[in-house]
Amino acid sequence: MAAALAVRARQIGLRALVITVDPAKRLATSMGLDLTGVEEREVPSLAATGGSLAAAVVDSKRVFDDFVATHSNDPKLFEKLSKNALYQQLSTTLSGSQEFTALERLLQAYESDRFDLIILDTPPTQHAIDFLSAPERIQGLFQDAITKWFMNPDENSGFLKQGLIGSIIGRGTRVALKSLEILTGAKFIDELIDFFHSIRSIQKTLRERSDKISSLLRSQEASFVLVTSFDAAKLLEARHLSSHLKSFGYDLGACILNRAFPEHLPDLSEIMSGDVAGGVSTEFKAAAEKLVAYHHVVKLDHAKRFELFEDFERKIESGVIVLRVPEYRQDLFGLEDLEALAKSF
Amino acid sequence: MVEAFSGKAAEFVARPYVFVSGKGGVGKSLVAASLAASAARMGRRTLLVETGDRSYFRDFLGLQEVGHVPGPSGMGFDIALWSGESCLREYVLHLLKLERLYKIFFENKVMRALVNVAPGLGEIAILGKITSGIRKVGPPMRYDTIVVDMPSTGHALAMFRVPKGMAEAIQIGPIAVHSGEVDRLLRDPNASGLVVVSLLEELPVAETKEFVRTVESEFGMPIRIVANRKLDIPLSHEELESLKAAGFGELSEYAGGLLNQARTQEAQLKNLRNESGGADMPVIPRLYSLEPRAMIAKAEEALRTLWTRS
Repeated sequence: MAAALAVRARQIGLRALVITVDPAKRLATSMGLDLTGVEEREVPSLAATGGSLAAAVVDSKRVFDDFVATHSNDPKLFEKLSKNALYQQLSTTLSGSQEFTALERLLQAYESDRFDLIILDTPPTQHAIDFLSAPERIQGLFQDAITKWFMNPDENSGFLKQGLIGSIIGRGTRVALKSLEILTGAKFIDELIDFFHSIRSIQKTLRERSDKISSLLRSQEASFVLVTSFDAAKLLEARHLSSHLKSFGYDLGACILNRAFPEHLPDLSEIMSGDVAGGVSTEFKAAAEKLVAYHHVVKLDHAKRFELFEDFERKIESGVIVLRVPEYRQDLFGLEDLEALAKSF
Repeated sequence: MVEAFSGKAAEFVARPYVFVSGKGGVGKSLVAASLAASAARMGRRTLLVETGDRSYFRDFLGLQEVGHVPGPSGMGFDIALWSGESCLREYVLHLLKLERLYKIFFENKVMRALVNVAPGLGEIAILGKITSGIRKVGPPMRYDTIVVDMPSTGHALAMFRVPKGMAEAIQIGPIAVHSGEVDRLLRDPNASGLVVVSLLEELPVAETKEFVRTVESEFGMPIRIVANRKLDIPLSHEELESLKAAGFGELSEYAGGLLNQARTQEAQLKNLRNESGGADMPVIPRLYSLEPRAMIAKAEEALRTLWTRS
């Protein structure tokens, strides 16, 4: 859906960028693009529009590494960090770090001034709030008051022993750190200290960037689009997320109900009463009756869903655009289909 | 050290851990609930786990509450909602033993900030909780089968990778040891199995294939694919074909549309069957019902083959 929205933006003449964090890289597949190893790629256009469209997959490790290289004035820092086990895991394997890198990538694109519209394809709803709160959590960690506890190079191994740090941290923190040592072992604590010590020079930048991202997401320039499907529980989930977004100060602009109705559902009732009885020759009668009966079941199901959607639209906050996208008869795949879907927006 | 799970999983879903994933919006939760219902029907003590902060099943099944402590679903299995936070708290309390120490740990500003950003911590806590019964860590878990309604493919994969990453990052201490144990259980084909749900469409099928190959090669986990929402048209292709050609206006056009859809779905079904290497692949029909229990009962029927030897 993110790809289709981005294609729509190009159709109306905007310079658009679509960024995905989906590790399954489905966005790239749906647009028929190979995005492995490239930072950004122009999506070919099937018609002249005056707009443009680029697609990007966030490469967490690269964003992390570039960030360190760009914002540090210590040329050896990168070398040091890349040896730190914590940094290695943080920038590659461990889930959760994409949150920061994706939002950093978003901010970079925003600051570049090359785009009129940037679309970020986030994880599914359950993880969306987690995702959005990443900047705040980063800010929370890199407060001076917290990092200084980890940053005395002479105390690497004797973190919990008496000494400079031992004397300035409170008893509660000492107990908590001791607990952490019980859980993770002394070596991990060493890595942690090493990590905090290494990134000292970029700590201020990290905080500033996080700050900027979080104001950007809450500014009038940012809006959220929620895509959901058809069952009652999913719709409740969507409503829940919409009020959640609002309570965190984000703006929900639109809600897309995917596969909301069949693309084509003709009215076959008169055929049943008239044509099948008269016009349809006996040769086809049995098959035609079966088809009409099947059609009836589909139609009833559709009517029930229609009620659910009506109810959803009534209950969702005012000002939120609700868009229903049909279930297409043909599988949507590739750029041509995306262009067609985008036009329906 | 935990020993490898010694039981022999005669049937696919008789493993102690059955993870359910797939592309977003393919019906993972319905399949997970139906698997749990069928495991319970086979007499296994079954727990359905959803991960995250908010329960989908509470609304779907119309339950009063779904929380950290497992409760009855009203369908023969228990159900629980495990978040990174709730599992981590339980885990830390188990390790630190003392409630007082645990409170200091979680209420401390430095720890709070660390726990909030530490990547993978929530995931390892959830996977640790799921596997805690066999590993004999924490409160006893009296379930024969735990069905886990996982996040969609990309995030499920990231989650499966966390234990190894964690064990490498931390290396020593209880968290490192436990991470290693969880990782071994994920890689033990008698302990863990994965069910991947797919729609019969190009994108979900492509994603399913990629996911199956990655999990198979990285974890050696036994996998079964389930095809969902196959059109259940009560007419043969020949009948649709003849109606399409009969020139009955709307009726013919409708028949032609259905025929197209049916053919596309069958091509994708074949595609998935090739991927599942001859294993019987359950196919759940497109259900024209919004009543959850009726939907589960229908899906359960289709999933019966997962009880055959594999």
